Amino acid sequence: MTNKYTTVRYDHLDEVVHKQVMDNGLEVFIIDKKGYNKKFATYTAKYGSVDNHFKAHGEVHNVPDGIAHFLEHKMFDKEAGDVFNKFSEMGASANAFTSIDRTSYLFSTTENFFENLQLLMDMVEIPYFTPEKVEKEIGIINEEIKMYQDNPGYRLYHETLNAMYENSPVAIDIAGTLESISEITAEHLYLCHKTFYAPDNMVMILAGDFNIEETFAYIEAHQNSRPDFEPSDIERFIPEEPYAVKTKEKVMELAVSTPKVMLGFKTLPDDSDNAVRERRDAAMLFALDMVFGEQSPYYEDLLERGIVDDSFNFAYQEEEMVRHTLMAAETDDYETFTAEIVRIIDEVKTTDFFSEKRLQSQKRELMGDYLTSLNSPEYIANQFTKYYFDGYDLYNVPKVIDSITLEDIKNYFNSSIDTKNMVEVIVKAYE
Amino acid sequence: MQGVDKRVINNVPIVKIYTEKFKTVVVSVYFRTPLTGGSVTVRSLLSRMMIKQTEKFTSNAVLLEYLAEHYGAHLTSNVVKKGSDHIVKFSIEFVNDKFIMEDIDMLNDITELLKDVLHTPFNYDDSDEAFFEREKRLMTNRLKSMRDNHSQRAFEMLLETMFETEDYKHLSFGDLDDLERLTLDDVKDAHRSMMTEDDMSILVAGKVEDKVFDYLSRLHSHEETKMYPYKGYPVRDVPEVKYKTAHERIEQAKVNLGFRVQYSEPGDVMALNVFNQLFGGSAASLLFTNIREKMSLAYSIHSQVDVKNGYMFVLAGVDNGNIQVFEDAVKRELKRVTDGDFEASFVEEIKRNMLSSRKESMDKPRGLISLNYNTLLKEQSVTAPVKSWTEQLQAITKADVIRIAEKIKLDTVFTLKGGIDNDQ
Repeated sequence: MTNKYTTVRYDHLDEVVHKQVMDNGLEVFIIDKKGYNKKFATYTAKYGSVDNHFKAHGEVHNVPDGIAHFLEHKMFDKEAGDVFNKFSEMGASANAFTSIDRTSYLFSTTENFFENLQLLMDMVEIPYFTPEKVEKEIGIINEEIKMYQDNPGYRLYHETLNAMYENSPVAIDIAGTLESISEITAEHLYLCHKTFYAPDNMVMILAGDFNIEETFAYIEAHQNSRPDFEPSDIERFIPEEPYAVKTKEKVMELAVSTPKVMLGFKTLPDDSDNAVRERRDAAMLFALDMVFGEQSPYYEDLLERGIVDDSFNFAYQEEEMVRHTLMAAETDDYETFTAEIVRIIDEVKTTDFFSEKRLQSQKRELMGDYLTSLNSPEYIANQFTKYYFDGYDLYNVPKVIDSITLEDIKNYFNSSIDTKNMVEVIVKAYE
Repeated sequence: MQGVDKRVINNVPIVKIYTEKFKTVVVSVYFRTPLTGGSVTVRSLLSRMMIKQTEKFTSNAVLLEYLAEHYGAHLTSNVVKKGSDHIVKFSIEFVNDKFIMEDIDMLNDITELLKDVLHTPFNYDDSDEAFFEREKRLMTNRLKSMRDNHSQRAFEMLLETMFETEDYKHLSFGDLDDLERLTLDDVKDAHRSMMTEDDMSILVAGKVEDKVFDYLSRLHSHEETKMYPYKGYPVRDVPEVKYKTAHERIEQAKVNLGFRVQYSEPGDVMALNVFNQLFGGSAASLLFTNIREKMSLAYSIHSQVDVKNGYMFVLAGVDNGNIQVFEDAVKRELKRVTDGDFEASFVEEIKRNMLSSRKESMDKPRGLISLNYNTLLKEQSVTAPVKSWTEQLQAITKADVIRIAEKIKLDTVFTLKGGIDNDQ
C-alpha cells in the first residue's frame, strides 16, 4: 500500500515534514522532532478579527467587532463543562489565541496524545452555544479588554494602527469593545463557526516525536466520520484603504513615568505575489537592522545623545492587509526622536549606506536565530501555520535569506518607507 | 543519547549535559552568593556591563558584529533570587558545528569570548567612566520603565509591604535609589568579590564532546572550593494581616495577596509545589475555574510560589468594585482545600501535569541546564541521599495537600486601585 501522505526532507536543516490532505479538505502536517518528550498540536482556522464583513453561501453578513476572539473563548465551554479541565485531566495543557487573520487552538502533552487530539478536534468542530453562556462570557472578556487598556505599550500600538488606517479592519481591537461584544448572540457564533471552521478553511500542525503512519490514520478516521461539508465559499469584503494616513499626530495621557512614542510609516499592500512579499519582508528586516540596530552608527549616536535607550525597537510588518514600519521608544525628548528618525531615513535613501560586509554577517546572524528557533516544536507549529496561511513555507527561509542582495535592500528600503506618510503617537503622563 | 557528566576542575564544577536533539549548544556560568540589600543593584549593573563590551571588543558594536559572524551567538546575562541567595548568570547559545559551512572553531572562539567577558572588569579604569555612566543611565531608564507595567509595580509594592524589614523585599535587578549612588569602583569591587568569593558553576548542554571540559576549565579557577549551602529564609509567624492600598489612574484594580507558609518538615516543600498548581498555578486550578470561569471576577488571575522560602502570592486584575468580593473568594477557595472539599483524583491529575511540565523543560537546552543546576545545588547542600524529584512528587497525597494548606497564612493584601488621580 502506498502512503497517502507525502514527505519532504530538509537535510541541511535536519528537519522532516509529512503532509496529508484529508478527504474533506483539511490539510495536516506533521513535523518530526525525534527525541522530544512533548508533542504539540495546533488546529487553526483562517479566521481573525478582520473578518467582520463577508459573504458565505450567497448571503452577506456583518458581525460585531471582536467576535472571532469571543468565539475562541466560547469553544472551550461545552454542555459538559470547561474543556480546559478535560485536557488537564488527560495530562495536557491547552491554550488558544486569536490574531487579525487566524484563530488557533493548541495543546501539548507527554501522554495520552490521541485522546487529547480527539478532544481538540471535537472541541473545535462541534459548536455549543447558549444565550446564558454568551452573557456570562461578556464579563470575563470585559476584564481582559480592561487589562489591555491598562497596558501603555498595547495602547500605543493600537492607537498607531488607528491613526494609520482609515477603513481597514486591521485597526479594530482583536477583543472588540464592551459595546461591540455586548451585541454578540449565540446565532452569530453559530454562523461564524459554520462559515470559518469548515475543514477546507483550517490547517492542523503536529510537532514532536510521532509514529507518522498511525497518527495520520487516526486523524483520517476521525475526519471521515464527520458529516459531509459543502466546500467553503467565503468572500471577504475588505474596504478600500486610501494611501494617506488617517491622523498624523495623536497625544494620549496615561499613567506612565516616561513618555512613549511610536511612529508608523504606512505603505499599502500591493499586488505582489507571495515570493516577492516574502523577500521584501526579509530585505526590510535586514535594512532596518543595518540602519537602526545596535551595531549601527546611527543608533550609537542616538544612544550617546540620550535620545534613545534600549527600549528603542522597530519592525516592518507585511501581511495580506497590512504593510507598514513601526518605530517606538521611551524618551522625554520625543520631538528630537521623531525628527532624527525622519532625517536618518531620508539620509539613508540618498547615500550609499548599506554594505555587503554587513549584509553577509547579518545573513549568518539570521540563520543562527532561525536554527535556534527550530529547537522549539511550539515555535515551529505556530510559525509554520502563520507561514502556511501567508502562502510561505517556514523551511524555505534559508533560501530566501540567501537570495537577498544589496540591491534588494536599497530598493525595498526606498520603496517601503515614506517619511511623508507617517503618524506619530505619543503617550505621556497625566498633566 | 543523553548523559550528564560532572567534573570539578580548578575547584569549579563543570557539568556537561550531552544531547543530540538540539541545533544549538548553550553554556551557562552561574555565580551565587547570599543576597544582601547592598549588593543586588551593583551586581545587576555589573552583569549588564560585562556583556556590552570587553577588553578585546571595545564597543558594543564590535562585540555584536563578532557574535553575528558566529551565526548570531546569543550572549545574555541575568540576575535572579533563589532561596536566600542572589545569582548572576551568563549564558551563550550558539549553533552546533553541523550547520556551519565555514572553518570556524566555534567552541574555542566562544570560550575565549566568555573568558574575556568574565575577566574584563578587573581592568576597568578611568577610561571606562563614560561607559559606566551610559550603562547606569540605561539601567535607570529600564527600572523606571518597569514601573509603567502596573501589574509588575503592584507586585513590587506587595513585596515592599510584606517583607518590610527582610532582605527578600529587594528585587533581583536592584533599585533606583541604590543605582543613583553607585560608582565605577563599586562595580569593580562587586566584580572582584563575585569572581573570588561566589559559588561558581559552569554548565553546558548540547552535542558536545569531552574536550569541552578542557575548553571550559580555562574560563576561571578558584584557589579553594567555594560552596555555600543552598537554603531558604527561616520561617516567620504572621501575627496579623497587613492591608495597604495605593491609587493610580488605571481601569482595573491590581489586587495581590501574599502568604507565608509555616514550613515544619522536609516534605512541605513538594506539598506546596503541588498545592500551588492545584490552587492557582494552572488553568485547571481552583482560582481559575471558580473565580475566573464561574464567577467571571477576573480575566488575569494566578498564584505563584517561592517554594524554597515558603512564600505564595495570588495576583489578579479585578474590577474596582469587586476588590473585597475577590479577597473573600480567594479565602473561600483556600478554605475549600483545608476542608478537603476536592477530589483525590484532582491531586493525581495535577501531579501528572507537573511531571509533564518537567519533561517539557528537558526539551529546551536552557531547561536542561536549569534542572541540572538545581541538582548540583542540592548535591552541595545535602549530605544524606535524598529522594529524586519524581519520587517526592509521587509520594504526595490529598492529605499532604490539606496539611500544607493549613500551614498557609495570609500575610499582606496589597491593592493598586484604579479610578483616583492620586499616585502614592
